[in-house]
Order: sequence, then structure tokens, then C-alpha cells
Amino acid sequence: MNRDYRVSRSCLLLLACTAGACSPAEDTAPLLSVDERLSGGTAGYPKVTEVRPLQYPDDHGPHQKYKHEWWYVTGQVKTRTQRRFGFQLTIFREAISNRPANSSSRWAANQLYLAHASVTDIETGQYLSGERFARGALGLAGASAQPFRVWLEDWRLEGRVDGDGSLEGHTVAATGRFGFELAIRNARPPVAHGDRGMSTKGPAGNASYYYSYTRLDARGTVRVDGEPFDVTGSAWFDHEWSSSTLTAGQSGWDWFSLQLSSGADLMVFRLRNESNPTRDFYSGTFVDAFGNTTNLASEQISMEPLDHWTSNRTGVRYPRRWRVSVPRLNLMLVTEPRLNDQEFVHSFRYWEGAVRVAGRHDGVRVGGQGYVELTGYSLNARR
Amino acid sequence: MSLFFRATRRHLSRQPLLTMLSVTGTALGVAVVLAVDLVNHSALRAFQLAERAVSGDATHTIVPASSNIPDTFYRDLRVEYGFQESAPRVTGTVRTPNGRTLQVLGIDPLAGLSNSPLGRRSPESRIDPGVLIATKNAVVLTIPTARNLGVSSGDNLAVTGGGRQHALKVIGLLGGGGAAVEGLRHVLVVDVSTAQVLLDKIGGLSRIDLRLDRRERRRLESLLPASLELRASGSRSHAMEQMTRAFRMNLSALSLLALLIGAFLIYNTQTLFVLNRRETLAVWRTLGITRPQIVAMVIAEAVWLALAGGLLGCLAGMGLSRVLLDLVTRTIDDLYFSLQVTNIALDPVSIAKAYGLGLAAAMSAAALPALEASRIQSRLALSRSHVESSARRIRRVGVAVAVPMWLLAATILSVSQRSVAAGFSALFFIVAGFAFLVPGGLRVITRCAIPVLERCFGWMGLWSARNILASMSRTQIAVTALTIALAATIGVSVMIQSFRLTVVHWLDNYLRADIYISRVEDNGASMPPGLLRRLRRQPGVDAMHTGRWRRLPTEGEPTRLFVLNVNARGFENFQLVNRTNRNAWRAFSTDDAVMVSESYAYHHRLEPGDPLGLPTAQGDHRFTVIDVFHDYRSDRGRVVMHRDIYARYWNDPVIESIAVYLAPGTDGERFLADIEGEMLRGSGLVARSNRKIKNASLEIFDRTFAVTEVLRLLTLIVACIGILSALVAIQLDRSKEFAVLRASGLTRGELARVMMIEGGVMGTASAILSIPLGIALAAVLVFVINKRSFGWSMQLSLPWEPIFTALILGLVAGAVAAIYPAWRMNRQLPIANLRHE
Repeated sequence: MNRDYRVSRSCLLLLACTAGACSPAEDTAPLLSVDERLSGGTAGYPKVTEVRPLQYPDDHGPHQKYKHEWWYVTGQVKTRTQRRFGFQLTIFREAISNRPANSSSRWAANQLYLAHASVTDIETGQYLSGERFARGALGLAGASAQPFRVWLEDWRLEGRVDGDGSLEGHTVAATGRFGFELAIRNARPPVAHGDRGMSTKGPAGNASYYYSYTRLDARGTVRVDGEPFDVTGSAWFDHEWSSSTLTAGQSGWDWFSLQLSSGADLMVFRLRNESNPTRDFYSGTFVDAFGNTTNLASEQISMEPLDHWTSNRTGVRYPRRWRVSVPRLNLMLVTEPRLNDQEFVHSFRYWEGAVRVAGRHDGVRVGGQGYVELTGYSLNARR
Repeated sequence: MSLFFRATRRHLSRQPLLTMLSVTGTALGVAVVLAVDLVNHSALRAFQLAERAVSGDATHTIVPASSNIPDTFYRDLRVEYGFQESAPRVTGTVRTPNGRTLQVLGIDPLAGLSNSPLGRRSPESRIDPGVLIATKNAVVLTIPTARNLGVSSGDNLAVTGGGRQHALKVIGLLGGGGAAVEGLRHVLVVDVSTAQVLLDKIGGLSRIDLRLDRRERRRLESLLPASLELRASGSRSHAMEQMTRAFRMNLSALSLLALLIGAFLIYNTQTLFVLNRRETLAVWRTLGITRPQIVAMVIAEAVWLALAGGLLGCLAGMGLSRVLLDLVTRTIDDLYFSLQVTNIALDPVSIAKAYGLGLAAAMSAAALPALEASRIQSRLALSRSHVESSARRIRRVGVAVAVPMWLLAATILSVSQRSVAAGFSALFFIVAGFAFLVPGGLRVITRCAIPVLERCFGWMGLWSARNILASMSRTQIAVTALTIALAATIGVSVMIQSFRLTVVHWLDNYLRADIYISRVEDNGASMPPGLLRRLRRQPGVDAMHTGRWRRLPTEGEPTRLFVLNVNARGFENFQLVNRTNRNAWRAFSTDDAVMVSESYAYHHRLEPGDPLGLPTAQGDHRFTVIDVFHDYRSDRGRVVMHRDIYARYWNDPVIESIAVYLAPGTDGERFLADIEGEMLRGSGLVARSNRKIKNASLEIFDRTFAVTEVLRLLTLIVACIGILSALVAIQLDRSKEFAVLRASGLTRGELARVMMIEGGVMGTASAILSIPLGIALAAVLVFVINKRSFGWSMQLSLPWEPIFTALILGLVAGAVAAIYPAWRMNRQLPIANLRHE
């Protein structure tokens, strides 16, 4: 999918802010300036134009000549008493210069790291989140393939990756109010999206390299307000890199990572055209219970919001429940947030949260869980 | 009271010159007080603003015990220990090609504390962190600073830092007019990586700002290595206030002196007003106007004058403060810490204070004349003799008042051991007591001068002298004011000269080495390895000493420790105060012992033999004070330790400076040229001859007292105005008398000469009287005020030059002040002044 554009998405958000769209109370100071990021921000960085086979464990590490990259883990876990939590850790890398940092100072850097983390405490209805920034220097933040390690200060994702792509590691993030420390182990081999890992992002030909572990076992501790909970559950891992930005007219995206009770997994996304829904771009990958993958083309997917939720904090109206259909696979699913308010409001603003899934596949009822990401919604967005 | 108002207005408008002079006197006094107060206030505020702009609402700061914090500690702080509310700072200075000093502030734009203006969420900040980090030598400045430097966004800015040239690139400007941006004036905001290169501080941080709650603070304290110290924020501002307190207080005291002289002027004016209107007052008394009403009227008049004078004074003070600002800031910058202030903060409290002081001075100055006025009886009013007899009364009680005042001053001095304020109050009583002796002194001097005057000027000289003696009530106040002003001039000059001679003597003894090598920027970096060895091989080198500065985190203010590797001969350079310890050198080079400078000993109440606890790298350790040495480097003082002793407690091989003694017969200039060419080029090091350092030191010394000189001059101007107004008043009062004389055949020239002789006698008498008072003031300034303010003791030397200057000044001031009245007198027809007879 195209969290590729997450960083550039912030530009749109900022544009909206400068145009007076944001309420003044909103805490969205311009960390990343609009001009810099939009005008030629990606010039001088290689575009993803051709298929190349993914190599493990090397491709788990950073691809610093590309402008953007992220590593992403979400999941839903439960205590033995069925208390359920959602969690998310995303570490972004952004190249701030395509030249090597040439200085005798250890602070010199040409890579910038950002991280977002959250925990959804479904029982108490709390969504807790935080963000971090650091340069890729002095050991403050960085990434490496061998050993596999991505970190921003003490938030990290690390582990052992074998040649066949099997992953055994853990993910850690904590702030004063929440935290998690979870061991993860893949229950299924990594899935390369698009054409052997090259994922197309629209009719204009933008693309990224993109793969996922659609199902990992997660086990460890989630902490909320100082109270630790032993949990087990299931997680999803994404890794994606590219140098593209959203093309003109694209205003945001809706992205789904769903794990079905039948053992199948589904990743789908839609890039919204700002004014014309017929020009929305869809893409996705279906993984059946045996691990076989099916690429889904734009015309094979449909998704529609069933109702909406309006944020009290920002006043932004987000779709709440969705119907996602893939007629070719005879698949129809409805997603519903575990908690309505899972809006991430820091330097960036979007909705990313744990959902439950219900629907039918080949005429059989299925359930499931997943994470949904909704971006580019603002107060005066047309869609 | 409307009658009084009208009478007052009438009276004031009929005497425009006198009114104007009185207003000017008050205005000058208020202006000087206000200007000094505004400057002091602005300097403090600028520092606090800069602190706040940089640190935001940081609660704590980690500072290094030595010169820098290793930047890996910062990594640990965030990555291992999880202190996310922390921000690294690298600070220092660079110079522009035209010699301006700019402060460099290295920040991590991604790690600002939430509420600091440089934090990533502040509205002022438009820094793109990516660009600031990734662009080589990127710099951000405030819009006023950019305008000041003549650069705009995208331009290059050439600076010298760490001994090298750098081309900085302006990538953005900080806008908005908030206090935060104000605090970043003259500051180049750069990324930490850029700052480390610019300031030659690779691997080091100057400090780390933090926001901590109590629990986090305790946790951090337990994690902190001994080489680092955690301090509460604001302690820097507080330390800065403490450091410069004595300096600022001295300035304030000097400014109050100007106001005191201004008050004399008001006293003088009001006395003359009362004299001039004695008939009117007598009539009013006969008409039933009560004494309190008359008192109120005279005081009200003074208040009117003071209100006008105060208003003008406030305006003038604001202007004057801009002149003084540069002088004061440079002094603070030279002596205490880097400080740049360009804006006067128009503090309403300062303005109200100065205005209030002016009014209070005017009211108390008018009290005596007002009482005098209320005593006027109708039948006595027509004779001046009554007024003159009351003037005589003051003269007679002179000694009776002066002696107790001096005793009081002596008591204050002996009871208060260390208070600077008490020192100044004693100074005040000495001056006030002396003021009561001036009339008697004037009389004696004038009497003694009669034969001389008669010989020089014939009957005119005699007549002038007699005139002075006959109208003491009018002259004694003016003479007193001038005496005090001249005494202040002598006192301050003698103090400065004594100080300067002491410093010159100290420099001669202290700077015995021929060449001193140090870093261009004082950044705590070590000398390049091998330099000592190479220097030793250089022909002509006889001996070398090395130095290293440390700031030790001690209670209150950090202690400046100077680590010196010196031999017995070099040790002789220290001028010991007590010389009680015969084995001083042995103790210094082998025992756990240190030497402390006089200021340090004074501030920390140390004497030879006392223990002194210092935080070493191995924990706190007690050292013995061997002796106290004279040192005028800094009024905060320092501790000196031998390198061998230092090596026992610190593992720190850094050498920051080298003193080279040349063998006899070696050409110093050539040696300097040799090593500059070979060894020091491009190394960020500079070699200077001792002569050059001496000159630079004295230059700073002179700059330090520039502001004092300006204030002294202003005080003198106030006094000259006093003399002028007194003579004008005399002329007004005696216009009928002069008219009669003119009508009887006295020529214009003769009249003018008489008046100038009178003025000259009065001025000379003031000057003579001011000499003993001036010397007394100098003694108090040198032995009490300086000692108490800075901990320095010095020799009092009596140069003739300031005393001679005072004499000439008195004579000229008196004579010049007579020119206008004489000229005016001569323009009037005698008949005009006789018309009403």
C-alpha cells in the first residue's frame, strides 16, 4: 500500500492548515515545511520503476537512497481474561539530503527518523498515542538489516531474519502513559505486494517496493497508565520504500489490513481523487489460508463508507464503518472500529485504529480483526 | 491656593533663566539615575530573555564540570535512560570579518523542549529541521539580526570560528516580534553538528536543557557521572545577577550622586527664590497667610520644578541610556560573560523610580528654604541681614553637625563588615558632614585670599571678596554643590588611577613569561598533541608553563580552577598577600593544597590554612589554602592548583595555554614570527607577547571605567549648572545695587571683572575644599567599596593630575559661570533697575 505517502500526506495537511482549514487550537505546527516537501523534494532520488526480487534479510534494512521508507507493526492482543488492546508502532525514515553527510561531527546526518506509537485500550475506551523525531546519527535513530534493527531512541523493532524471510523479534515503544513490549514471530512467510514486490500507486505510474508479514504471533506486555497486562495475539508487519509523492489530484487514502477467522488475510487500499470518485485508484493482495496470494487490480475492489464519526478534538469527519468487497473472490466484509476515537493527533493527524471484521467469503460467514488507516480527511475536504 | 499658584507661576515666569537652570539640574539628576537604572535593567533582561528563548520552560540543565559534555552522554540520556524532554546545546562565539562578535547556538531542531521558541511546536519557529540539519553550515537568525548584518535568506555569511574561516548559509529567518525572538538577537542558530565544527567542539555539548519532575530528577541524579552536574534552571540568570550585582550597584551609587547634586541645586534655587521674594512673603504674612501655607507654597514650587525637570529628565534619561548601554554591556561582556544588548527595555518601574526619586529629592531640598520662608516676619523682611544671620547660623553649627556625621560614617564602616550598601551610606554621611563645613571653609579661604586679590585686582579684588563674605546665604550653597561635584571627580579619578597603577604593577609581576600561546576561541579544547615537544626543541626556549581552566560545580557559583604546571621560578610571579607560609612553593607543588585569589578568598571567607572542599573527578576532596594572592583577572576570583596535584584527582590531560620563557638574548618578535609561521598556522592557536597581553588587559581596564568617566562628567555638568544658577541669582538679587554703582560711574568692564573675580574665587574655594573630601572619597572607594564589591585590595596612590584638574576646573567653572550674568548685567540700563527705587 502506499504509506509511502504518509510523509507527503503531511504536506497536504499543512497546505490545508496554511489555507486556514485547521482550527487554531489544533497542534499541527509545521515540522515539515510545505515548500520543501512539495517542490522538488524528491528530485535527485531514484524512482521505483522496475521489478526487482526482494532479498531477505537485506531488504529488511534501510534503503537510504530512496526518499521515504517505513517499518510498521500493528496488532490486536488480549489478556487471559479477554481484555483486548490494539497497538501500533511505525518508524519512518526520510532522506533529507541525497549527499552523504560530510562533517567531522557525529551529529551530521542525511537521514531523519519519525516514529508514531499508540495503544488502544478497548475496555476503557482509551486511545493513547505519541510521536518521536530524531536524526539518523549519533545512535539516536537508525536502521540495519543484519542484525535487523530499526530504532528511534528507545522505540524499536528488531529481531533475527533468515534467508527465507522468517522473522523472530520484538517491538518496543513506551511513553509516560502507555507502552508495549511484544515478542513477534511470523506465522506465515512474507508476502510481496504488486508485481513481486513492486506496488503501483496510481495511474501515473508511481510505485514503491512493498512487502508484509500479514500474520505474526505476538506475545508480551502492554502497559496502560502504569499497569502492565500480559497479552497474546496477532500482529501485522509492513515494510515499504520509494521516492514518490502523491500525484496531482490525490487527496488521501483508505487502507485496510485484515486477518480473517478463516485464516485468510486481505490488504486493500484506495487512493482518493480529490474531486472525482471515478478516478480513485484501488489495489490489494489477498492471501488465502494456505498462503497463496492473489493480486487485486483497481477495478476488482470496491469500498464504501457506511457511516461516519466526527472527532471532538479536531472536528474532522472520518468514515466509521466500511463495506469492502472483492466480487471476483466472492468476498464481502464490513469493518467496524473497536473504538471510534482512534485519531492520531500530533504533528501529523490521521485515523488509524483497530477494527473488527464480519462478512461472507464464498457464501460462508467469516469474522476477523484488523487495522484501518484513513488519511487526508480535513474539515473542508470534499470527500 | 489659587493665589499661590498664580504667584508661583508669575514668579517662575519672571525668572525664566533661573527656572530653566533649576529644571535642568533636576532633569540631569533624574536623567542619570534613570539611564543607569534602565541600562542595568536592560542588561539583566537581555540575559534572561536569551535564557528563556533558548531554554524555554526547561526546569533543569546538565552542565559539565569540565569544558564539555561528551555527546555520547546525550545519546545515552535519550536512548538508554529515556529522558525525552531534553535538548542539547552547543554555545560559543564567532566573529564577522569586521570584528563583530556573534553568539552561536547549536540546537537539535528535532529535540526542542515543547515550549521553547526553538522547540518544534512554537509558532515563532519556521525552521525546517531537515534543511537545518542537512545543509552544510546552515544558519537561522532573527529578522532584526539579519537586517543588522545586512543578510537575507539565501545569503552567505562569513565568520571566523575555531581559528578558521567559515561560510555560513542563511536558510531562514525567525520572525515575529515576541520576547523569544528578542532574546535571540545576535544569535546564530545552527544545528549541533554545524556548531561543533564552527566552535571546534567536535564530540562535545555545552549543556543539556531538560524538563523534569521530581521523580525524574532523582532518577537522573543517580545516573549522572561525576563529571556532570544537574542544576535547576534560572540558576544561570541568578548567578549572573549575583555576579554583576556589585558592578551595577556602583553605577547606581554614582548616578545617585548626580541626583544629590541636583537636589543641592533645587535647594539653592528655592533659597534664592525665598530671598528674592522676602518682601512679598512678609506682606502675605501680614495679610494673615499662615506659616504652613507658606511652607506648602515653597515646597509646591519645588515640586512644580521637579515635575517639569523630572519629565525632561526621563526623556533625557532614555536617550542617555542608549549611550551608556554600549559602555555597560561591553564592560559586562569583558569582565563577566558574553552579553549583547541592543535594546533599552523601557521599564516603567525604573521610570517611576527615577521620577519619584527626583520629586522626593526636590521636596526634601525645598524643606529648609520653605521653613526659612515661613519664619519671615514683616518688619524684618526688608533687611537682608536677617537672612544672612541665618546663613551664619549654618556656618556656626557646621562643625557641630559634621563631626557626628563623620562619627556615624565611621561607626557604619566598622560595624558593617562586608555590605556594599553600608559602604555607600557611610560615603554619603562623609559627604553630607563635609557639606556643613563648606560655608566656614569658604569664609576662611575668601578672607585669606583678600591680600592676594587686592594685589592682583586692586579695589575690585577686595570688593569681590567682601561681596562673597557679605552674601554667604546666596553663595554657600552653590559652592557646596560645586565642592561635592569636584570632590566626586577627584575621588573617582584617584580611585581609578590607583586601581590602574595597581593593575599595571600586578601585570608586570604576573606576566613574566615572554610568549603566551592559547586558543583563539576559549573553548576548552586541548593543544594539539606534540606541540609542547616541538616548542621545547625550538631554539631560544628557556622554560614553559602550561595552564588549564576548569569550572567546578560548587555551591552557588561555579569555582574557576586554574591548573598550572609551573616551576619554583614561575611560582614567584604570584604576589602573595600574607607570605606567612615559608614553604609555600613546596606545599603548592607537593601537598593537597591550593592558592586562592584575593577575590575568591573574600567571597568565600578563606584565609591561609583554611580547608577548601572541591568536587574532583573522584568525589569531593578537601584542599588546604596555602596563601592568598593578588589577582585582578576577575572579581569572582579563582583557585590555582599545581598540575601534579590536579593529576591526582582528575584524569584530564588537556592543556589550554602555554607560557614560554625565552632564554636571555633571544629576539622575542622573531621567535613569535617563527612559531606563528611554522607551528600555529591553521591550528586555531594564537601566540601573543606579554606586552600585547598587557596592553589588551589595560584596554579592557580602561573600557571598564569608561562608563564611570561619563557619569563623573555628567555630575560635573550638574554642578556647573549649579554655579551658573547661583551667580545668576546673585546678579538678580543685586541688580539694584549694581545699578546704583553703574549710575555712580562704574564701567561695564569693571562690573564684568568684579563678577568674574567673584565667580573665580568661589570656584577656586570649591576646588580647594574639594581636595580633602576627594581624597577621603577615594580612600573609601579604594579601601571599602572596591574591597566589598569585588574583593580587591589596592594601593592608594595620590596622583597630582586629578587634583590639579579639579583646581583648574573649579576656577574655570566659576569664572565661566559668571560670563552670562555679567553680559546680561551689562546689557541692562542702570535706569531700568533703578526705576522702582
